Amino acid sequence: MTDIQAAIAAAASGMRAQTTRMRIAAENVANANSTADGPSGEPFRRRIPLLESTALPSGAEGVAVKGATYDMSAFRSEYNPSHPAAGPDGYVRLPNVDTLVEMMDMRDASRAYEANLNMIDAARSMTNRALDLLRK
Amino acid sequence: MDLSQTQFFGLLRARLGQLSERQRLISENIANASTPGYRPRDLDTSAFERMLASSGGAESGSLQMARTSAAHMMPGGASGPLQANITSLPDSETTIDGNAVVLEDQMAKASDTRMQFDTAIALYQKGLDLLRMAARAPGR
Repeated sequence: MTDIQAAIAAAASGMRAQTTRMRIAAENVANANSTADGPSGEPFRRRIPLLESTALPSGAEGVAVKGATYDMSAFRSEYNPSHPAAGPDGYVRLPNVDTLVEMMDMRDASRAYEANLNMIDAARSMTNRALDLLRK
Repeated sequence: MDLSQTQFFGLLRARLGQLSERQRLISENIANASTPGYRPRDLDTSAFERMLASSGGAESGSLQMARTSAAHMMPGGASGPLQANITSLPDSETTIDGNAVVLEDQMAKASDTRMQFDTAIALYQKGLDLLRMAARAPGR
């Protein structure tokens, strides 16, 4: 039975990690147009969650979000001289967020979340079947 | 009478333990479905070692049935070695970040394990029913 509990713990850690991933993707999308205050500042930089497999207290190998790094790719730029954050050449630097990529990430995260949920369901039904032996 | 010492129940108990361990491994794989470089793990159910063991048994004079699949039941019952090793095998495809977990493959494995678990539980139930029938007073 400890194996089944470990299975549930692993699936729960997966759900937590996917939620964090979803949150970071949502933050990126929310800030897709956040520019700097002035010409010298940097706009919002896209963040990437780092997932790592970790040993859980129950002995299962779960997953955890180790942190988030910044995407160091180049910023988008747009010609808009009247913008307060525009440089001397009239270009405004915009965040390096591609909403299409974020949407794909979100879909992937929600698919993985669902798979983890199914695993919890399977583990629970297995336990229930075993407990049914007591009832008859 | 210790139920787990009888051949039938001992075998089923070992089988249930093995299946729940497999379910745990599949759960871990699915939890790590987005971890870069992660390779899924599964129970190694190849019967190679057992074939070796049974050929050794034939030398010493006792004949044993060859198990060509882990799903076969061991005639020795509870004494049969049912623990399998954990292997690490990539699924049907590997993504660019080195993650080799394919959710579809893992879900198929999970439902397979679940069905086998249900089968073992049903057999266990049958065994208990037989015991009850034997323990019942005749004519009632």
